[in-house]
Amino acid sequence: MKLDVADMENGITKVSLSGRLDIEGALKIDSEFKKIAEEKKNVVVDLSEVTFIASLGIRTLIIGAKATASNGGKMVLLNPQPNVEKVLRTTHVDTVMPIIHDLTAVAAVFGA
Amino acid sequence: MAPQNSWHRVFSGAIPEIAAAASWIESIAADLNLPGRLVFDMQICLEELMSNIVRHGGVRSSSTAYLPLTDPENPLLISITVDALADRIIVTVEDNGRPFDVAQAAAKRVDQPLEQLQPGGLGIQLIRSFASNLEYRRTEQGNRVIVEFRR
Repeated sequence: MKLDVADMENGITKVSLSGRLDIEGALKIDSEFKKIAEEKKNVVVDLSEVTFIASLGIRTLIIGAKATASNGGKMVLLNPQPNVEKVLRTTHVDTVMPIIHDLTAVAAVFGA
Repeated sequence: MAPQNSWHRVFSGAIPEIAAAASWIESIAADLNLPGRLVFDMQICLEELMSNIVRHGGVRSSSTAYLPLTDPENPLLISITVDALADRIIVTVEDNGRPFDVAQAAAKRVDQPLEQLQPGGLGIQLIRSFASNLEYRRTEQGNRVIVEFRR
């Protein structure tokens, strides 16, 4: 599991994850992901290179989303692969973190 | 020689073993030429089942209390059998940990606003959603879960 951070325009931070967000992957990135979410306000999480996600990976995302919300911000999920998106929608994660497939839509989601 | 249609392997109850089991399932799926969707469904269920056993099953019931499985001569073990039938794949997961009826456990979805939401606990819902059928039996040694996936 790999995590990269980049600042975008309008104060939005992009976190790109790659690999398997299974129990091992989640434990590996948990603390760094939470720290970024606590420090930043609006975060877009690029999931395009995530090949697998399980409940512990969802837990990581929810902890991050709660942290951005407590800063008055938001977390958005970008481009999940179809199987990963199915997991996110099955568990209704999309009701608390919008899933988008177009990076140009990010600014509109954040109201930036 | 008849093609292989049954596989069996025993994993120890440790986190790195979950990824090892996922790789094992992938190699079986490659032998059977299963579609990627089915491999993903099997891996999700196995990940959630093993994760529950590793995180919560490491205690053993006795007549009076749950005792930690710290005895090196009696460690937490997860035994997995994969049976390939013409119309479905049956995965049987057995462990010697704390009794836990996954088929009756409460399945949770995200159902609250982010501020009130408690992270975690979504695994049962994933197993129910991604398996075609789920059965639980208490055994003398611990638990047996039988998960089926339509081909």
